[in-house]
Amino acid sequence: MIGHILAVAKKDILIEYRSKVALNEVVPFALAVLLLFGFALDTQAKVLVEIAPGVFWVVVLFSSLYLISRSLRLERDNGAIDGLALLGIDPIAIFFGKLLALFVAMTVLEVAAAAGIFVLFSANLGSLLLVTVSAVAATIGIGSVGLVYGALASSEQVGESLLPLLVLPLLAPIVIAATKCWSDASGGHGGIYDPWLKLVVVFSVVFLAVGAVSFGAALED
Amino acid sequence: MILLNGYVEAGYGAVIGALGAYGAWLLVRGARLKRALVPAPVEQERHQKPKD
Amino acid sequence: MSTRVIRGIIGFTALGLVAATVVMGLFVTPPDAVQGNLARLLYVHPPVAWVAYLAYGVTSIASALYLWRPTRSRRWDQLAVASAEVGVVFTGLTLVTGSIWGRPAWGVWWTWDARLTTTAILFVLYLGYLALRRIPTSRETRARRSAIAALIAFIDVPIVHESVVWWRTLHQGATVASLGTNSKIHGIMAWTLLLGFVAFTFVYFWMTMLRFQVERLAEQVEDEEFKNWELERAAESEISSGAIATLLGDGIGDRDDTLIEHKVR
Repeated sequence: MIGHILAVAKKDILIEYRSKVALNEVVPFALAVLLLFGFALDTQAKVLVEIAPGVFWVVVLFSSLYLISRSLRLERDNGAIDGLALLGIDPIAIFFGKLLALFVAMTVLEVAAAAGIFVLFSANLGSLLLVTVSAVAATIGIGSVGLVYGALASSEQVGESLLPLLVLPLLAPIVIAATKCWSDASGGHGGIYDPWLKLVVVFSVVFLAVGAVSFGAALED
Repeated sequence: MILLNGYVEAGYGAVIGALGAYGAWLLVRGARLKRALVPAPVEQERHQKPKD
Repeated sequence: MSTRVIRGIIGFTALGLVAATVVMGLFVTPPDAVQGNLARLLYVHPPVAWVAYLAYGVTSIASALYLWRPTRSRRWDQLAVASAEVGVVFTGLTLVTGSIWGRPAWGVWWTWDARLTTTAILFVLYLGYLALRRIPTSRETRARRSAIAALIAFIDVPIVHESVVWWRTLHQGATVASLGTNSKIHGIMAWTLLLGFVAFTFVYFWMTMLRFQVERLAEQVEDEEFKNWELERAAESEISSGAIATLLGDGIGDRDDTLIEHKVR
């Protein structure tokens, strides 16, 4: 099982490493959106600092949609998923493997976006621990929901334009709670027992379980 | 003529109007589908008879 | 036939009850002491919101019954979509009536009240569900996919609600008083509100039954069209095989015919 998970993850990471879609397309996209937020808010320093956590999560969420679509397109193209099924790999292992690879890609994206936010919005972290833990948990939640819905909406014609509509309302709690975690941390009154962190963790655990259970059924055609 | 304060009328109007429109649309759709279904069995018989 | 009669009875009952609610709400009940005439929206807004939640509940149960193999049946899928579509209509109306109430009561069309925000997310969530159903694919795939999506949405709703409530209460000291809590309801007003709940619940049942029927008919029409298409194809190949038969001699042609008939069956 673990071996299968790692093999699937390795495959996805290798494809990403060779094609560099995340690095060459998605990260620049996120940075472009950050710049646009600056323009839209007319660079009012105080506002920018205050809304930095929210902007960060909105940008990460939108950019991850690309990564999620990409992750599922890899399986759909040339019926690659059938190959995995023929090898006798459990859908649960496929799910965790793809989630692991997606997690790595999203972490790269988040680090780049955070760096952009620090420089452009002069945001501050406060408690690095709280922000990091909440980001890890939120990333797992976003990835799980995204993979299941990506599999559900996978279709040659409309799948990818539908994904945001399906995923974004579902992830509203993550945006609220992860943003609040960072706000609390930068406000100096956030610890590892922050109630918002609990919400992020609960959400992620619930959808990690839901994703593991339903991914196979969602993929099969 | 505004009977109460305008908002109340708008609220009731929206509910009655939307539900009425949706209900009517469903009725029309159902009737249309039913009409589409009726001639089909006849045509099928005509197709199959010479075979039997 | 009998379901049609039942649907007709429910439909006319719903019509009568809604008419009664409107008459009671607009003309018979007195204006509220605090909110004046505005309180009359109270007779429709909560019942409409209740129906929206009821509809999504039915969609979730039907989806679960579809996914569970022993009870798997096309009917559950048809019921799920019927109820979800009616639910979206009622959720839209909940938002509209809430907004119309909010404008004179709060001075704004929209406020980030916990319930309002949850309802808005619910609205978008189920619009997504209906959009997911529009992806062209086989019936079984669509049914399974949308049932999974409906259950995930169902799991998400309490989390969304909880997070939004927290978000509002931790943010600003007091939440905006929700509809009706600041006005005393008694006597004829309470009865009218109850009437509203019953009336719109009947409307829900009528609409869902009708929408269910429409879905079934649509599938039947689709089946018929497919069958006719198959027959046409068979007729075409019969003609062409007939032509081949005349070219090649009778023996081979006959065998071809039987082959084609097997394929059609």
